[in-house]
Amino acid sequence: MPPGRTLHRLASHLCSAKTLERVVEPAIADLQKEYAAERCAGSRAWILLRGYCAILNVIAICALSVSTTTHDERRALSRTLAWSVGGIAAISALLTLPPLLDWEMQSWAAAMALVPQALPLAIPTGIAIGIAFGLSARPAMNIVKVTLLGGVVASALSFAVLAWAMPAANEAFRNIAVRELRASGYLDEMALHKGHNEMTLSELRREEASFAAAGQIRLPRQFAFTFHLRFALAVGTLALASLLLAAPFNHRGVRGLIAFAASFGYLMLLHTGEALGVSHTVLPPVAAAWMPNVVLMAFAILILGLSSRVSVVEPSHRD
Amino acid sequence: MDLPRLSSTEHLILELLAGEEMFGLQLVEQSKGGLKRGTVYVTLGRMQDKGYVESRTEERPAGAIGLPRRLYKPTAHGLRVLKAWEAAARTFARSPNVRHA
Repeated sequence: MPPGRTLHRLASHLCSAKTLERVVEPAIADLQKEYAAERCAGSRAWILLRGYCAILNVIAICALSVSTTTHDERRALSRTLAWSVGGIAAISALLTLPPLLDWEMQSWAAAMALVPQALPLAIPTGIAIGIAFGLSARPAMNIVKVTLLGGVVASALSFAVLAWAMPAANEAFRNIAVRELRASGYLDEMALHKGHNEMTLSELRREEASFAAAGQIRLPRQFAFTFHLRFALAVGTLALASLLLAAPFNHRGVRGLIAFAASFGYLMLLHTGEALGVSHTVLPPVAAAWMPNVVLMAFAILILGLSSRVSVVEPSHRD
Repeated sequence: MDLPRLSSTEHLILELLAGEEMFGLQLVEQSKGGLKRGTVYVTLGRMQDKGYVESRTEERPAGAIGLPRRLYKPTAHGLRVLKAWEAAARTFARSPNVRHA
């Protein structure tokens, strides 16, 4: 079958019929022709990769053009996207490289296994950085809508990493480490059980029920907290985005500071939530996992309420 | 009277199409890096809206699978805009007040 059918379906939801016919379909048709003309499997894979990237770029431009009306707004969104991607990459590198460089066992397999562990924190922080440096205070409503839509996409990506990629990566990393330690004679040959960060959602539920039935208190709460955290942390991207969108400051330095402070505060709230929900049984695990999001959203609503009574602080230093 | 605008990308596309009808991918290949695959189709769409280029779907044999490709060519208006901008560029280059890098 010719490539591009999924992209065509995606474009039909995001773009108008005229744009689909005039812009997206010619791009897909050219890719199909190029793909059909190539016989070598390796070149075909490269053609597909290049073609899909180009078509996704086309769809993104067209989808943004539907929602935005001015060139300046499109530039602001492009800037936000660039800062977000850069922020996610930088935070991922910051979290991934030091353990890798510090460790005797440096390998590409270990590096690949560390990246999904960093992404659940890198994605919300990167999005917050993108909004802080890409947009000014109180952007137009259509900019807010597109940014929040981007936040939803980032949240979905974050959930996919938390639910599937991160547990598998954690397990792979553990296996690599155990193999090396056993080869060096530091570890006996014994079976190692999966930790809660290596379990899938269904495994977490199963272990929670199993330990609860056995009369345990702390372990079921730990599994329940980890289960709910995978959803809550994914939505954390939207919570951070909402806070940054509500911030009434125009100065880029102040907005950057707010982004980092909010991300750090989110991390602290996560640890506090875990202590309250698992170690000290003060909160139910589901409330403990969602507490940081509730706090951030409450702050965002408070800031919106307060700043709607005063004008935007500081003149714009942008452009 | 609002004069038609022509960006550098649109100018390059019209220059390439002035010779012959082309597919979008051919334009990218012929431009030798001047045009990007991810943006040429968007630009061609905008140029169609402005009336600088027109397109038609290629004729294909019966039973062909996949989407039909689009061939682009400049309109008479597009060629006039191209000639006008090139004349303006030549006049500007001859101007004694132009600062050369």
